[in-house]
Amino acid sequence: MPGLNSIMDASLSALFAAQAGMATTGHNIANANTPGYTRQDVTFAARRPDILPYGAIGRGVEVQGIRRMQDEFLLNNLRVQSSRLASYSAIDNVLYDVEAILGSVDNDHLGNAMNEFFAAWNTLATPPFAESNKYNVVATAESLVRDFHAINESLDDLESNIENDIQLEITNLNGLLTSVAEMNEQIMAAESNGEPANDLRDQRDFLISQLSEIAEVNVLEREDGTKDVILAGRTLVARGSVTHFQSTYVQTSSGYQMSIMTQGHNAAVNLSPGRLEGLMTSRDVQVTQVRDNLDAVARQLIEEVNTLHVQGRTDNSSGLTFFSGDSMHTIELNEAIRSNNHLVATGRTSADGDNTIAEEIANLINQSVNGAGHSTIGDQYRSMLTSVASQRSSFEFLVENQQNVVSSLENKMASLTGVSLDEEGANMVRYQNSYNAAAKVVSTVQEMYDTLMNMV
Amino acid sequence: MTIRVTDSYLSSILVNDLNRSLGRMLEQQRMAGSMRRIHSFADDPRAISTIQRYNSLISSNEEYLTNVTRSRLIVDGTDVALQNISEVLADARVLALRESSAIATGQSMTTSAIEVDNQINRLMDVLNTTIEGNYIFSGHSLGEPAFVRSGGMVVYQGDDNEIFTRTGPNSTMAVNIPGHVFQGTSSSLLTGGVDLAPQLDLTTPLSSISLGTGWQPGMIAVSDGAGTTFEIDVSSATTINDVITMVNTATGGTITAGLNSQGNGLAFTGLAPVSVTEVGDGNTAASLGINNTSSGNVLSGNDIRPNAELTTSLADIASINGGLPLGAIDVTWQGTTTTVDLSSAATLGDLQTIFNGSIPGMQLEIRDSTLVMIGDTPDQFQVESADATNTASLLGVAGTGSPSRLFGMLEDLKAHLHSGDKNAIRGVMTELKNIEDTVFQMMMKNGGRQRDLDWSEEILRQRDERLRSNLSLEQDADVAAVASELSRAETSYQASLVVTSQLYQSNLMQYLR
Repeated sequence: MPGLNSIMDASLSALFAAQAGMATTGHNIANANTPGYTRQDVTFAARRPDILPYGAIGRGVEVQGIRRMQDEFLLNNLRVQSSRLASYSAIDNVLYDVEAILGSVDNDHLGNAMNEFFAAWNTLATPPFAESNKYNVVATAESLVRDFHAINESLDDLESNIENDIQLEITNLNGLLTSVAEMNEQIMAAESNGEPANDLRDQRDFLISQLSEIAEVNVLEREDGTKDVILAGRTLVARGSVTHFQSTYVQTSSGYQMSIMTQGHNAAVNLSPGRLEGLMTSRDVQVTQVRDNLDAVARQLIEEVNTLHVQGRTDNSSGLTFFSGDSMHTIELNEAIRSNNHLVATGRTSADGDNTIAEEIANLINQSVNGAGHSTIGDQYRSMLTSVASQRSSFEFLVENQQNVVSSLENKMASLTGVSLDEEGANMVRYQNSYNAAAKVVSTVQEMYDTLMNMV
Repeated sequence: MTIRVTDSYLSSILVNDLNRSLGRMLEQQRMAGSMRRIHSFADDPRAISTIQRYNSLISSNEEYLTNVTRSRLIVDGTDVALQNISEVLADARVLALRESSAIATGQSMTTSAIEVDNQINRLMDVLNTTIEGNYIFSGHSLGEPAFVRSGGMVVYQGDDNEIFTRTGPNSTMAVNIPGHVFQGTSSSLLTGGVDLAPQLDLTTPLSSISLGTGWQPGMIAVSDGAGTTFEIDVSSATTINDVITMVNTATGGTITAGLNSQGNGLAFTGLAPVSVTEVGDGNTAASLGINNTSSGNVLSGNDIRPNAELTTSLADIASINGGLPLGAIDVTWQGTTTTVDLSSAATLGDLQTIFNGSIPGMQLEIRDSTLVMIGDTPDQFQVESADATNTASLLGVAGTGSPSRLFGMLEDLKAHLHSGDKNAIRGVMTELKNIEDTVFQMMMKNGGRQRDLDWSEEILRQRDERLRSNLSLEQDADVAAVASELSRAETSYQASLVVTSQLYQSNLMQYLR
């Protein structure tokens, strides 16, 4: 038969258990808004009972542990999808910038500059003729050249900004890798006595999730509680040791370009999806495509206008090219024409009324150009715009869809690991009641002691 | 599975919903503010190329309209000048007639000579007309006066080049008349007086009708006396027969289409009165020469014959069909008479080949559906029928060919007036008539250009309207739909805000004491 002390012990264990539950509830409430925090739950178990001849009498309750309500599968899935979202978003952001550089439906500055250039030639070609119209041709040509140069410089700036972002992401990535390694060591130390370091694990998982947005990583958990981080086939974090990423400039056909490699390796890293990969792709694919297409438009314009203009003559010149260069970066108005507008040739003879060259140049806007199938220079430009618009629209769609996937997983994650104040409130009432009840038992045992003592 | 609703879950859902509602509302507000469906290129990539292309086409179209307006300055200026020239020549003819008559005296001739000198000066002023500093009769040498006095004579210092301007994506037209046509110092000319335009037949291409002006594809409305109206789309027709077949098919025999009795236009037969009108703003019926109402049961269309060409068969020309085969003509030039046998000719091209091969130095040309004989010196020549077939008259070339020297002729007239040679004054009349014919032809040619400009302007304005309408369909917002969507988005956003604020306000903690 259990003694009063035994009952007191059981009640005390209930008091302690209720306190542990209340403390965990308080911890959960305190971290309800902490990013990466995983709600914790106290697991209780009945103490081993006293076995008496007439049966087993319980000895109270014990706190078995405090567990994190985490789902590793869901977490990994969320990281993979977040990596993709970060990649699509990075490309979408760059395409947004490219589109801003090219203008908008109401402000298609390069298209307008080309239209105005050809319109100026048309005015020059339309009788009654006026020498002053040559000023307009030169002015619109200079405007067009300036716009090509401005777009080229904006694309240069954009590439430079992308590379700055890449550099920042690498710094950020290296910092996160270092933090994960440090967390590994802390967790290893904290869990050496067999108790899980829940909050440290939360922090490490949060760091790895941040890492995943920069580049998709594989994570392997060791028995000692540490996690190895593997990226692009290379183990970057192994327990407390870290290998960092670094950027370097390598020579390519189009000049020096930033490339990413790991310390101790000279080969460029083949990046997995993530913001870093998105930035690299947008620089190497999207921006390069736009630049190549605009170069082709500028080249065609230069060639077609020059082919006609060299056939023309004025009182003081013949065989002059109108433009020089072969890309939007190098296109320039012939310096002789810039300084002397009268050298703009309108016809194949120097007669004032010979408008054949001006008329043919003006009509280039309607003419299929060499090597461009049935398309005109304008068609080539519009085709480039459509390509940018399609890619932007496509990536907007991908980002929106991927955002939905990530939101859905985040919601699921929040549902599983997030803190519910209602639930914690209910737990609080439950633990409070439990504590009150246990205290009442203690009080009753005290009274029983008093009764007993008074009998003596 | 029951969802565990945590605070972060609730927050995530509500914030996402709020953002979505706000995004939708902003999008609708942007559309309502600008009345545009599309702003950035990515809003509708499919439409972006179309919109930019329409913008470019509208811009080009505006340029063509400007070209038409500016070209009109030249063409109208030329018209005024030609009318002035015509008036001066009429005065000169009256003067020559008067001074070659019995009433002329030495004093009157001297006065008339002064008057002719004034006429020369007037003509120089007219032919040196400038539009915005351009000498419009100087060919390509626009910066130089067309005619100047040199060595006591008026000489032409321009060239024989025409100036072309673009009036559409695929069409250009000449707008000036080079002054060399009035110089006439290198040739003599005989312009035929017979219209050689061939009769219309079923295979005549619509693109060649109305002396090559062509037609405007579209719809026509045909009605009869019973009040039945048929709107017929003939835009896919390519020949006269296509139009006739389409009308006969569409009206099911109520109206019978065919060629008119003169063979130079269309005819629609039905219950009187038969009427053909345009559909909408079209110009199809007019371009087919049939936009009219009959007094009887036959609506006979206007003359829409094509231009005479080298391939035109002589049998297809109404004025000479009854005189085939042709006979011979005598051409007397530089003291030699040559008989040219034209009996083997079956086409206008055959006539040209035979004539050009018979008299070196002379050419036969077809200009504006008439024959023109040209000698490559200023010597006069005579053409007459060589046999009873009366071929020269049939072809309209019986007569005298002479140079068309505008100023040379007036200088000759002035000299003859000074010398008092009435026969010589009378002799100038032939060349004077030739020049008047030349000016008349130039007026016809210029009038045709004015009509072409009118036509081009009409087509360009219609094209502008169509392009802007298509552009609007692609890029403008549907106002009613946007207003409705905006209202819905605002309501949705406000509802989201209310729900969010209330949800955040209520949790269990409020009820615990």
